[in-house]
Amino acid sequence: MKALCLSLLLASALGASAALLESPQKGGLQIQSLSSLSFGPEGLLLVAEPATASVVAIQTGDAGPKSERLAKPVADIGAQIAAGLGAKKEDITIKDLAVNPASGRIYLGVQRRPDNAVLIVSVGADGKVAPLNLAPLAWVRITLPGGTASKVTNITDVAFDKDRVFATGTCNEEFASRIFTIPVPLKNGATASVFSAETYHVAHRKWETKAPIQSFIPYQSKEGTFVVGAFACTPVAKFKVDDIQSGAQVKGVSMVELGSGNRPLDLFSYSDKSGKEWLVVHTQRFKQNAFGPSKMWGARISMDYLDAKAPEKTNENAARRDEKEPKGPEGIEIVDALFGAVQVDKLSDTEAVVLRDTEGTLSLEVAALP
Amino acid sequence: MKRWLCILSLVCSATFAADVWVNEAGQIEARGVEVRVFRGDATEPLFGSVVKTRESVCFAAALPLVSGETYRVDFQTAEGAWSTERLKFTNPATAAPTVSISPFPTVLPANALKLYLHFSQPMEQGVFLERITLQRQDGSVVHGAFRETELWSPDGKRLTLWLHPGRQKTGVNLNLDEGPVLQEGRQHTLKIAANWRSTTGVALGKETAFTLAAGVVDHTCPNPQRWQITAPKTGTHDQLLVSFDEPLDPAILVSALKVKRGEGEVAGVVTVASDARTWLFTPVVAWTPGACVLEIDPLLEDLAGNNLLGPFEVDRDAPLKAAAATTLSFEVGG
Repeated sequence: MKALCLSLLLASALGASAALLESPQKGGLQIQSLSSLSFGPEGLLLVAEPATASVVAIQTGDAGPKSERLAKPVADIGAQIAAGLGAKKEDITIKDLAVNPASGRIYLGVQRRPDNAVLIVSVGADGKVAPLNLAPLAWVRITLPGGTASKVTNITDVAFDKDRVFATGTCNEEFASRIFTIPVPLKNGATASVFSAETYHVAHRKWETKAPIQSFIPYQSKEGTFVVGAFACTPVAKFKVDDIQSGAQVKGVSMVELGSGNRPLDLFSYSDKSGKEWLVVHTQRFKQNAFGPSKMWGARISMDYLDAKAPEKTNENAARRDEKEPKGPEGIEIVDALFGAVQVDKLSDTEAVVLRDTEGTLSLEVAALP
Repeated sequence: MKRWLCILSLVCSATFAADVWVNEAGQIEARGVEVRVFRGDATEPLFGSVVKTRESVCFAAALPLVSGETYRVDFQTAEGAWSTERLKFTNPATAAPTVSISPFPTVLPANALKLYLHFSQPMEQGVFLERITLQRQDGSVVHGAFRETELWSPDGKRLTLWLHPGRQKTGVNLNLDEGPVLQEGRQHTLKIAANWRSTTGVALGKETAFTLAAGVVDHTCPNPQRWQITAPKTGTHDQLLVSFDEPLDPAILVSALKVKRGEGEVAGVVTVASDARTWLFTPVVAWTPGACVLEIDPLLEDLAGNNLLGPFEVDRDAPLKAAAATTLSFEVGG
């Protein structure tokens, strides 16, 4: 079987990323739920597993070469996935999409109804979908700290950053966010540090309210290491995470406001042909969009906005997208390729992988970045 | 393995053709050299792995087979001929799930942030926005009433239903453009659709409607000084009763209050009244005389998200108020 062949191929590459995991287990992994997928180096797949408040790290062995770029769009990929899961097309949800930067292969986290069973599948250059066979793969599971101060029941995002893994979570009962950091090499039972992360959405310069992190990326600048997060309703804010003790409260600084009623889904950064760096925010809008065919849309923001420090450029004075124009102010503009996208991830500095929903039919394609 | 045995227990009434059967490991086994399994009349096969033995071939699906489904099994005999058999997995005789709401009766401040739906069984996920409708008193539907993020308890039975914060927060653009979700002084109806299924595929079967009454907005922090404690008597297992002057978040309440005697925590069982206005504590060991302290988690919220540390929405023009006390004392006496 193709899935078996792929697993053998991947298993042969195991060991290349041994330094990323310490004393991993082999086999026996069952993913109980998933909310987010992300890749580290050398094919290391990070899975956010909210049912166990854990991050699972899996050495997929899919460590390159970069030859798995999707060759052509896959129409109605939802039907192919649903058939493989033994479900009707309307009974699956793609929980997340991640592109392995080492190979270009696309990974999807899928949930089936009504039993809520989850499966990770991948899509190669030929557009064929295959389940990720976990049996031969090495893995570790790190449970995020519990207890009243840091209880977390929904992991919103997870990402690898050099010597640590970041995860963000929210609690079912409280409208607040936590940022977790887990040291690399990752090992079973490792202790994550936790910060209580708060940012404030200021309306009319009068009312401050809390907002939870929906999606984030780690970000390095001359000022240090930050988590740049997108929040419901929807400021983009940054949190400095250098030299913070576990248990501390970090208050975010709002840098950009994309307009009200947006629910951010994905974030990534890239450099365009001129070397200029951009942050792409993929979001779902509350109402129909003024400039495109779908409530699902995205914008790119010049990374220069993230380096603003002066109070007159942050928080209630942060740059605000002009909702009456497709572009503006300078360095904030709509990315047309993201209209209708339900899942997005970066493929390279010139392309992104887009899972698009057209009246209930899912299609997968590679789209050019501006 | 446990997962498969569980499935087997669900399919005991399935009918199996002689050449195709479900083996002890829960795999579909066929007399032949090749096998492919399809759901119903699907044209693409199920994901799974195939293991060949001397006389048969086994298919292990990547996800458990589902009760109520019919699977088509195409298998190739050693002689090269392809045959097809169908396996029907019958639905187990499971009672329909039921749903209740918390707090109940559901009297909410107009700026309430959330309420809870409790199901008797784990429910299918990813459909709650299609299964829940909020209507105003005049019968009109409140569109975009809920936050899209789906938050289930680990056992899959409790859904935290957030009223859309963008509409409930004062002065946020959605609040101004669309108006708040709840109208002060009015009744609303929360409807749960009959076709919402449990994880075993059994639907609620009938629409359920809950009345939500919206009162005035609440921007005030919970204040334990306004709570009433009914202290138990020495030598009894009487409940310690703490009554609040407003409903508090029923889910947070479960773990937000602790009874301390000295440095030690008194062991007991906590119950929260359905209206979330009373917290009840039954000790494991009979009460002994002396002073006790009720320790309160400062993150305990009321229904509008105000906690002991501060209100959910901070009016930056208003003077800051001191945080509320987080302990209350009481005496266990004769």
